[in-house]
Amino acid sequence: MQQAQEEFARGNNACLVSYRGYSGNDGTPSQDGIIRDTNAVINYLINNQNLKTDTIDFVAHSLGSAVVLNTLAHRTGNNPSECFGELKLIAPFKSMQGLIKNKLKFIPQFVINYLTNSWNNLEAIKKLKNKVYKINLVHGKNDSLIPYEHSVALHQEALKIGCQAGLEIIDGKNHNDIVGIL
Amino acid sequence: MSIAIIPRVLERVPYTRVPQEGEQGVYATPTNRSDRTNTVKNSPKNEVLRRNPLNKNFKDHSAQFIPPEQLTTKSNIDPEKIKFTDIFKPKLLFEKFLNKFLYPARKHDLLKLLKPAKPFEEHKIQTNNGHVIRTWLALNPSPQARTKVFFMVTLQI
Repeated sequence: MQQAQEEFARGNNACLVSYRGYSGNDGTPSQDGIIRDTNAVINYLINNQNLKTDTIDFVAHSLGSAVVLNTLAHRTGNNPSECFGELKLIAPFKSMQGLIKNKLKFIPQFVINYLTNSWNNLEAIKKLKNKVYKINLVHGKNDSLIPYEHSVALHQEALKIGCQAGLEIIDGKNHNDIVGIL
Repeated sequence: MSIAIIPRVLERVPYTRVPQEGEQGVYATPTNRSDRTNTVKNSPKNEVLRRNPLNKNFKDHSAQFIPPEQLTTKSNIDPEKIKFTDIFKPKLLFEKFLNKFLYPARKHDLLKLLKPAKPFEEHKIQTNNGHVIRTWLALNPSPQARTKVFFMVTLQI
């Protein structure tokens, strides 16, 4: 919120996206539904607000990073020529299944495999070649929820496909307090 | 003696009361049904329905014939072929359980956060399947302005 206000004060536009089930929106959250909502928001910015795709940057934290990565990956099939600006991912994760496996060790693998909301960011980032101008990853070194190794893996994957990618690991920061300093 | 079950609506009479002494006119009573003209049974709408029954015009596509031998009953379940997942649905249960953690119980209510922030205007955006999503935009008039789109939902496990 504060970041968005600061961006506006700097002379930029700011857009805050809410999801189904949140902020008075109808429905319940799901991967397909949230991707569809985010797609609609991006289309609205391009078609109704007449914004050029290369002037649109994305800032995403935690689950938000999965939302934006998977939405952009989804758009590669429909709009192959469009290219967005910078993509800033704060404390992202590789995949939901991998994260659950790490965090909830008592749950057997066959149950995790049943997940439909997989949020596989490692696969999604592979599709972002020429989709974004630059990818910046930021992670707190003391993140107890999502270890910073997730960002390292995503960064390596981004470099592999030839994306311009940066990685910043910040000492002494946890999962939520990292947002305040950016 | 036969008992006819008459729908309640047919029992309704337009006006029923016992004529008082000195009053004139005919009052419909349950025993004087031939006088009734304003009942549901005789209404023009009912006549139209009688000529064109709904069940002829609209086929029930949800109805599907299942032969008795295919119906799963207690008697035809083979105890050797039954799977664990036929009884226990781990996928549904697990996702229900997980959603409570993944999507943090709608604590992040943008509405409350945005109330004091005047530059933000609410835009209602419709998805291709008709779902409406609320988004807040603060636009600068400068044509050189970049647009930052924020996705700030916190994951809690």
